[in-house]
Amino acid sequence: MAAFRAIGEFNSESRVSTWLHRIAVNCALMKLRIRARREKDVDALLPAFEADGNQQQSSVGWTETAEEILQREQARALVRRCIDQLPEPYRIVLVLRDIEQLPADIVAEKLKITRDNLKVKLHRARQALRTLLDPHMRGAI
Amino acid sequence: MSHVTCIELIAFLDSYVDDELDAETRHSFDLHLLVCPSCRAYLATYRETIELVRGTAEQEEELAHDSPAELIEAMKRVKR
Ligand SMILES: [Zn+2]
Repeated sequence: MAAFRAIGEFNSESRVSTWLHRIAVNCALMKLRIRARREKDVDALLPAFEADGNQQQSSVGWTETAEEILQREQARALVRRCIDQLPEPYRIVLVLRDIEQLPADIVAEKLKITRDNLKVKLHRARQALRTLLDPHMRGAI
Repeated sequence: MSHVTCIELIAFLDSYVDDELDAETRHSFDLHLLVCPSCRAYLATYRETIELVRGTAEQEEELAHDSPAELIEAMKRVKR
C-alpha cells in the first residue's frame, strides 16, 4: 500500500485509478488467455483421424495389465506424474470423477458446467492421459 | 449408425465403456471392433488408463495410513 500512496503523491488520483484499472483488466485478460491455452493444450493429446474416419496412427496394446503395472512404485509415480501433466480443468475432472468417484451431477454443479460438458471433459482427460502413458506402457517401465 | 468408423467409436468410447449406448449402436460398435485391431487396442488401453488412475489413488490412500504390507494385502482381498 505504501507504494500506492507514494504514487498517489506524484499522480492525480484519477490517473492512479486508471492505471490500477488497466492492471486489473490486463490480469483478467492474461487469465483468460492462459485458460484458453490450457484448454487447447489437450487437443494435441487427442487421437487424430484420416478423412475416411480411420485413426491416423494405429493404436497398439500395452505389454502389462494395470494390475501388474500398479505393483511397482516407480510405475505408480509415473502415472501420477502423467496425471499432473494434464491441463488443470481436465485434471480436476479426472480427480473428481475417476479418483474420488463423485456422482456426475454433483461434480457438474461444483464446477458450474453442464453434465454434457463434464462428460466431454472427462472423456478428453482420459484420452489425453492415455496418450501421455502410451509411450511408457508400450515397453515395460 | 450401421457403418461405424474409428472416429465415431472413439468419440463415444466413454458411453460404450459405461454401457450407455442403445443396443443397435452398441452392436455396430462391436462389429467395428471385430474388424479394427487399432480400435481394439485403443479400447483396451483406454480401460487400462481408467484402472491405473483408480489404482494409483487407492495405493496412495493405503500408503498414507502407513499400513504394514500384510494389512494392505488383506484390504486388497476384501475390496475384490
Ligand atoms: Zn477403428
